[in-house]
Amino acid sequence: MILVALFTISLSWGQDVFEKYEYDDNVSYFSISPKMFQMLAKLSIETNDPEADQFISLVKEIESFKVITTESADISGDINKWVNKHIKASKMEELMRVRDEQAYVNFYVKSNKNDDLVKELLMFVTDINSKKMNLGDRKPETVLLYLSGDIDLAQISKLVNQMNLPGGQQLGKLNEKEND
Amino acid sequence: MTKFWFYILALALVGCSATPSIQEYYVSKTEDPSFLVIDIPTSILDIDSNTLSLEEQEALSSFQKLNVLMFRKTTANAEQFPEELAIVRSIIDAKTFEPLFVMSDRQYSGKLVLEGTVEHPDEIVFFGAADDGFVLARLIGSDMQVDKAMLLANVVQRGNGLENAAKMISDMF
Repeated sequence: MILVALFTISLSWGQDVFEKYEYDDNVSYFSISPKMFQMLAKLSIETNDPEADQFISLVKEIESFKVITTESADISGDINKWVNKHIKASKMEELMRVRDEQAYVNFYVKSNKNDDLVKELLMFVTDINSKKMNLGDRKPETVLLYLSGDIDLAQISKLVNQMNLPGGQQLGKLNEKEND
Repeated sequence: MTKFWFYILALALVGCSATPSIQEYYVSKTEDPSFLVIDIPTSILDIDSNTLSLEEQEALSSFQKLNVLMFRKTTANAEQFPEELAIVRSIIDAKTFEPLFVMSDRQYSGKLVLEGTVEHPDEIVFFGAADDGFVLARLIGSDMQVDKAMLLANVVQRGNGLENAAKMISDMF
């Protein structure tokens, strides 16, 4: 009996909030799997643009990339629960939190002690004021971005900025602080 | 005891028939008027193999054909749409395939999956769905050399392969 209980608990813990809502009409979901990154790394893409080259080398260091955004309050609550669980389960630390007129942004990381690279990054954005931000006709309530690999934060902020997601600018500010 | 094995066998059979293989699905839909199934061999690109380097030739021959299946929702088959969508999703989400990327929004969803290894996939499948239909495209080859795909893109650009292909496809309709 206990075994069964344990088993169900471990199952529900293993349930990834991203996959759970993959086919839900109330969310937008985007995910790039480790296999895709392995494949991209294999493609010998050559550009003469140093910025693009930098971008490609960044992509090669990423293992997995997932974003979920939703306008539903219920799903937002569920995402919030998952974030709290995941932070505890994989021992992530809070890196920074920013509240401004646009949104409330939380960053969590799991880092290597030895170097500046980050193993896992969670960016959790809530209280989004869509009037202040130009996001087209989307009015997301919550955005959750997950990255794993050997991540250089300075490079990631560029990526997030290019995707026009809320939180990108905050991540940029993070670098300015680090450089001071 | 024999009864037990019978159940196992029955279960296994049901398990198999519940999700058809992607090939079975294609074949079963070739006669269905709601579907459009097109088979495009890579030879449609009309690339003169004499102009290719040995490496490029190898890369080209590792890609065999592109299989496209389309479902367009009409008032006549609107009821069929969610059923077919569910079947295709169960095929794509099966263990046979490894997801490469997934995106979904209220209106659109797209998924790219692969069968085989990253180094040499045997099949790459794209599934895109919208409110008014879906498309399932399979790129089939043997030991496809993904790292050479870029090389091939150059080849296609060099010739007028894309124009030829576009012309042939538009001639079909």
